[in-house]
Amino acid sequence: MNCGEVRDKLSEYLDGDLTPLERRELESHIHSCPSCSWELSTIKRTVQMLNSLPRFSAPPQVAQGVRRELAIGRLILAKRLFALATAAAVILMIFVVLFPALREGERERFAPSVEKIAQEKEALPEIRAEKSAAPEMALKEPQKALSEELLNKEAVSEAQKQEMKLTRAEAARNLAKPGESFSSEGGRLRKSQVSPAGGGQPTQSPDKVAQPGLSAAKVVEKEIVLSTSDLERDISKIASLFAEVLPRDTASKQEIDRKAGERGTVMLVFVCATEEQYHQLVDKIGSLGAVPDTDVRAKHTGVAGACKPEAPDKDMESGKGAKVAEEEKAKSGSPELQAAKSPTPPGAGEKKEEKQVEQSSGEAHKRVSEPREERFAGAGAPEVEKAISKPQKQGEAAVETQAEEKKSAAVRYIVRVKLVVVDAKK
Amino acid sequence: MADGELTLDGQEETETVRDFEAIVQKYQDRIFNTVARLVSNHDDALDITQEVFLKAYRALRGFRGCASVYTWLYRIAVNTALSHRRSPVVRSLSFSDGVDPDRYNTRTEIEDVTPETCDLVSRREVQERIQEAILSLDGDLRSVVVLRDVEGLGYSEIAKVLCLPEGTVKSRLHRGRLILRDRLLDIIHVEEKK
Repeated sequence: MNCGEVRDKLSEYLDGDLTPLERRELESHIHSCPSCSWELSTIKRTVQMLNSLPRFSAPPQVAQGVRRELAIGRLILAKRLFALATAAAVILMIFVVLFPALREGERERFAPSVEKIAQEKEALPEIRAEKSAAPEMALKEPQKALSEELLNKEAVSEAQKQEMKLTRAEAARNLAKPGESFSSEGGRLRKSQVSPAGGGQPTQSPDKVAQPGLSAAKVVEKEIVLSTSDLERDISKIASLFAEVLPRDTASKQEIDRKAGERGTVMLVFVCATEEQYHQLVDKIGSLGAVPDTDVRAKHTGVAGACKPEAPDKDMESGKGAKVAEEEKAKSGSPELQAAKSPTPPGAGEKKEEKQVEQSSGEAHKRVSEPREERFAGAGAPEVEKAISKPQKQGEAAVETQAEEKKSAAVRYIVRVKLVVVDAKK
Repeated sequence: MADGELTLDGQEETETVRDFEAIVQKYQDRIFNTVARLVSNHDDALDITQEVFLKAYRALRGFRGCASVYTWLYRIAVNTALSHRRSPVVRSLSFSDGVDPDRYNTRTEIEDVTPETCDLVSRREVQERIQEAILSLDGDLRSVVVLRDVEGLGYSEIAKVLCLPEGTVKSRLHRGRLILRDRLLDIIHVEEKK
C-alpha cells in the first residue's frame, strides 16, 4: 500500500471495517510512514472528540407538543367529519324533499301529451270512415305512417312531437296546389287567409286546406281575429258556439286556451278532429257578426304580431275604418305579405273583388283583399262569390257604425281564434 | 450503540406503531440529539423534533414495517433538519448558552482531555468548537458524520437512512472527518504539545 491508498482507508481502519489483510498492510505502512501516522492520529483524535460530545435529552416540550398537536389534529379531523356528515345529511334531506316534487312536476308535464295522443287515437276511426272514399291514394303513405306513429307512441316527448309536426307540415306542403300560400312557423303549417277589409263580418271563404278532397294527414291552423269591446261576453259566446258545433263525444277535443299575450289580445284555440267540424266552425264565425257591439272580422293570420290591441286613431276619424287602417299598416310593414302579393289570376272572383274595392273606402282595402283573391282563385268561383258578397254588404254597414262604436268603446280587445284541424285519416 | 437498539424486531415494531406515543417516548432523545447536532440552536431542534414525530404520525399508514422504526425516524429527522431554514440570526453556541450541559446525559466524557487542556480551553469551549465545525460542513457530509460519529450508526444503517450506497457513505464520512480535523487542528495541537 502506498500513502494515498493508506490515507483513503484510515476512516475504515478506525471504524474496524477493513479485512485482516488490509489491516495488517495498513498498520505496517503506518509504522514506517510518519506522515501517514500523523494523519491517522489526528483523524482518530477528531473522531474521539465527536464521540465525546454530550448527548442531549429531549426536553419534555417535545412529547407535550406532539401530544397537543395530535389532539388538535384529531379535533380538526372530527370537526371535518362532522361538517362532512352534516353536509351529506342536508343534501340527502333536500333530495328526499325535492324528489317527490320533481317527480310530480314531471308527471304533470308529461300527462297532457299522453292525453293528446289518446284523443287523436280516438278520432282516427271517424276520420277513416269519412275519408274511406277519398281518391287521394298518394296521400295514404304519409297518413299511414302518421297514424301508426299516433297509435304506437303512447308517450312521446316534446322533441318527438315536434318531429311529427314537421312531418305533417311536409306532407301538407307536398299536397298544396299552386297558388296556395302556406307558411310554416315552428313546424306548424299555417294557411293564410285574408278577410275583406271594411267588413264587419268574418270571411266565410272556403279554405282549400279544409276541402275534403284536399284534406290529408296534416295540421291546418286558421287564425281569425275578432275585435270586440266586451271581451268576457264574446269569449263565452264564442266558446258556446264551438261547443254547439262540436258533438258531445268530441267535446273533449276542444282545447280552449286563453292566453293573454299582448295587452288586450286573447287567443282562443280550438282543435277540430274532422274537416266537417272545421267547416262548420268557420261558418259559425260569420254568425259572430250579429253579436252586438262586436266588430267581427276575419283577418290574415300568417303574420304573427299583425294583430295588436286596437285603439282609437286618426285614420278612424278621417273616414277610413280603424281596422282597415290597421291592416294597411300591418301589410305595408310586413315583407312576407308584400312578397305574397302575386299577380291576380283572372276569374269571377276577381270582378267581385274589384267591385268591393270600389265600394270600400280606400286603397288599403284593395291591397288587403288581393291575397284573399289569390287564394280563392284555385277554390272555385261560385263559392268565392258567395263568400265575398256576404261580408261585402255587412262590411259596409260595419264601417259606418264602426266610428260610433269606437268612440263608445274605451278599450277594445282582439280575440284571435285559431282553428286547428288534425286530420289523420288513413 | 449496539445493533439491537437500532433494529427492532417485528413484534416490537408492530406494537410501537399501534401506540404512537410509545414511539415518541422511546425515540425522542435520539432524534432530538441528532437534530440538535444538525441545526444551529436549541429552539430549532425542539421544533424540528416535534415536526419529525408529527410527520411520522401522518405517515404511519405508509409505514409497512419493512424498515426499522429507528431508521425510518432518522430518515425523517435528517431530511427535515437539512431542509429547515436557518434562523435569521444564527446564534452560535446557542446550545451552550441556552441549555445547561449538565442537564444532558453525558455518554462519555472527553477522556483524553488533560487538566492542562482544561486550563487552556474549557470543556464547554471545546464542545462549542466541535459543534461549530460540524455545522460548517455541507449537509451531505454533516449528516453522515453526525449519524456515524455522534449517533454511532453503522455504514449499512446510514446507507439506509440516507438512501445511499455504502461506498458513498464511507467516502463522505472520510471527507467530513478530514475537514473537521483541519478545523479542529489547533485544539489537537495543543493537546499534543501537552
